[in-house]
Amino acid sequence: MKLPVDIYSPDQLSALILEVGGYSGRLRDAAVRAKTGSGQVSLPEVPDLLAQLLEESGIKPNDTTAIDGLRKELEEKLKKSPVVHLMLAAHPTAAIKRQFTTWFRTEINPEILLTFAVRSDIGGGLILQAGSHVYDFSFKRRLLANKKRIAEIAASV
Amino acid sequence: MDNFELVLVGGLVLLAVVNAASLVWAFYLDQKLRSRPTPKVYEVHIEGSRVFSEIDLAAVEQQAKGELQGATHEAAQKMQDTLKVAIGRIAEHVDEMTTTTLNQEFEKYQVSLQALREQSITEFTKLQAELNDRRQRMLEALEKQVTTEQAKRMEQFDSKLNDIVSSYIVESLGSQVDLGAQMVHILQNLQQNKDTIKKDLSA
Repeated sequence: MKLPVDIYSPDQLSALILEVGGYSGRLRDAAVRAKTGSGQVSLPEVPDLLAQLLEESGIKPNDTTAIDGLRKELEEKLKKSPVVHLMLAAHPTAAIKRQFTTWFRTEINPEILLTFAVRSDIGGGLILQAGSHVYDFSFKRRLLANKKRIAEIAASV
Repeated sequence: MDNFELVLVGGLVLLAVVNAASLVWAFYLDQKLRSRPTPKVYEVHIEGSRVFSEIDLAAVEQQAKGELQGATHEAAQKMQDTLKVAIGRIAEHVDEMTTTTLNQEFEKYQVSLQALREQSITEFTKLQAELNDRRQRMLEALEKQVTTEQAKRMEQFDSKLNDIVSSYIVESLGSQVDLGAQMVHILQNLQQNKDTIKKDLSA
């Protein structure tokens, strides 16, 4: 099962698991109502993200067993997927988040999850924490690494 | 020079003494000659037994006196010549002594002067070396102090620079960050460190 690109963070995955659980419950209710013949029974509405996930996983929206299996699989992913924390100078747009998610899942690990944080004093670039290692690709660090250039630049302005 | 004068005075005194002694000796001989007991004249009226006549006796006395004076003069002259020769020799000896002494003294003086010069040179060399050493040590200490002070100030500057740069970045870029424009650069950095990130996550 491949996570949709819009599901990138542990929080979103937790929310999705809850959503899947809720949907599965509503689906069971509908099935019970259909068996008892209590009026007209319609399938519960499938949230967009879940619909996308079901479609990508090849699961039919009324397959309760498969959906329960999906839920367990998602719970397993939440426990085992590696998490990378990204710190940016401004709030990233959805498109940028997708760009990061796609890159990490293509280049690093297809199961990876990301968290985003904002710290404006880094000026730009990115600070990344992977495991216990922190990578500082921020503009601030690059500026401080070339302190002499700051004086030169200041003198030439 | 005191010795030389002393020798000269001693020589003169000696000469005077010798002269005086000669004169005294001459007078003594003269007196002795005069005070000889006159032989008793016996009235021997033997005309044929008189050896000298009265005139001959006076002539002999006169001749003896003249010879005595001549001998005295000759002795004085000889004494004077001897004295002149002695004075000359003494003067030569004194000159030689003076020259020798002076040369010896000069040599001693030169040796002392040379020793003093060498000692002075040694002392000055030592002093120079000590001064150079001290100057070198002071320069090193000063340089060390300057380096320490510079490092200290640079450290202070660096610590403040962090805040200054942060503040500057916040002020200048804080509200105008374009993440879209930075994405190429960010992804490039990630690509360069891809393998390390993978290792960190698998660890």
